[in-house]
Amino acid sequence: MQEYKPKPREVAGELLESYLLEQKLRPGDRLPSERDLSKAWGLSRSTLRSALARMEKNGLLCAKRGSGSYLTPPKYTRHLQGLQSLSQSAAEQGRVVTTRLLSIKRVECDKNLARHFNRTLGYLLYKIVRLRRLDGEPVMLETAYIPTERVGNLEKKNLETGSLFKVLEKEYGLIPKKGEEKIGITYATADEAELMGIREDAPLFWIVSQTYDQWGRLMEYCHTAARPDRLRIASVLERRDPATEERRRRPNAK
Amino acid sequence: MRSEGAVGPKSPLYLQLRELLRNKIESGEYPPGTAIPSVGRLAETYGIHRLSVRSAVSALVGEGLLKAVQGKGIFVLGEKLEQDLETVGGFKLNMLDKQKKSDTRVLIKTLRTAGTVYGSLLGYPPEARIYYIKQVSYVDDEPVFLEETYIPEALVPNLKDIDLGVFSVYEACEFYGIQVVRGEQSLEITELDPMDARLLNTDPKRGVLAFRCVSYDDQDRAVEFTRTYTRGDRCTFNVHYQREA
Repeated sequence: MQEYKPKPREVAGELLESYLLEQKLRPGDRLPSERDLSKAWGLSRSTLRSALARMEKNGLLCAKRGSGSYLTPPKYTRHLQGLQSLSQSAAEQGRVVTTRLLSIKRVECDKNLARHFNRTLGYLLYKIVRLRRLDGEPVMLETAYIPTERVGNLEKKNLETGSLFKVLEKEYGLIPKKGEEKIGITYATADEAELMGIREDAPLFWIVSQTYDQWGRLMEYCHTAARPDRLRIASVLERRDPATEERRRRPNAK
Repeated sequence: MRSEGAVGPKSPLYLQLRELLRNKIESGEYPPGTAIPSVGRLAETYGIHRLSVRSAVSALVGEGLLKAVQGKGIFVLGEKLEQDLETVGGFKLNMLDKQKKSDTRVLIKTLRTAGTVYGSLLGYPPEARIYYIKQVSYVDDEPVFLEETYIPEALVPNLKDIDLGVFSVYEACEFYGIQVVRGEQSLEITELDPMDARLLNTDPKRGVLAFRCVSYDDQDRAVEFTRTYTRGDRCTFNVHYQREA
């Protein structure tokens, strides 16, 4: 097996990560200066600077001009399990979600939407565009489509208090049961950039989700552009033996 | 498993060789995932005809003990865990173009100390030795994933002899009785440094999907940490979920 000598850049990145762990630094804490770190580790300043810049780009550090690098609060982690609402899961992570309804209107299904909802062209949907903020900072732009025939007068409901699913459940008896998401990359349009305060063409998560109700019907089709510097997406993969699961579900069965 | 004594001095040479190879596989002299000597080499060692070697090998290939890979050699297969597991949750990689031809190139495969970062991820002391593997996967000759894997040496001691162009790290773990039952996964978007961006044939500023996963076995030991970078224009990640009862 070959000997591998890591490049200085890789060494610097790992040293920085180790340092954060070993010193148990917390959000808001300041790192020692670039000069002190490069001296302590025997690395060139330019190597260290590019490692710091990379951590900054990935949202781990933020640099304040003339004062150094600070540890940023961890990204909000969106767990794709159990259909927990954004407001609920953010609250568990000590974050506050606020929602602004940008628009709600009736639209006709185009070819793509008609296929997803298994309806013909022109089937009526509500199109709901909402901007979600975490601790005051705009992080997600959500565009949801919901069949109008199942949610009469949706525009009269309060869609800014938080979970749209809560409204659908309370007011219309629609219960989200299962769903799927596709996650990829998109690049901010001028509108998205302005609404979220980022540069145009910056990479964003592009999340397309489909949620099914208790009757197995598609109840919502939604696409979301989300800021990757403030958000990460997590999931737990489990491989289970179906026989054991069955026993677990029905403990009294033989 | 076969009974001993099925083969004696009067048995045909190919049968004798077949049983010899079988014994070496079963005793662990030829560990799972590694290559056995070539046909030419075996013929020379035992002074028998290549055709006899071939028929011994092909019998064991037929039994599922060996796997012949064109241009690479003859490899020992480990026992697969035949358990029908249901996968719940978790991201699944979804190629945008249906794949025609895929290929993996191992760039780095080395042993290193875990250090604080990987030691704490895998639950080992910083001085523990771990394998570090970096590979690029191609689909239709286009680079699509760049993957870095960290595995404690103690778990798969023979990993250094396993050709990762032939077996996945996942298969190598299975050969050594490690069954991954849970993976804690996350997805972020990150910028690659210019050298890695070049490996993926992409512009660093475009960003890539960074998938991280710590895998655990049925005893809840961390067995592997992987970091996979993929170009957003070639794949998406899918996840299915259900409301908990």
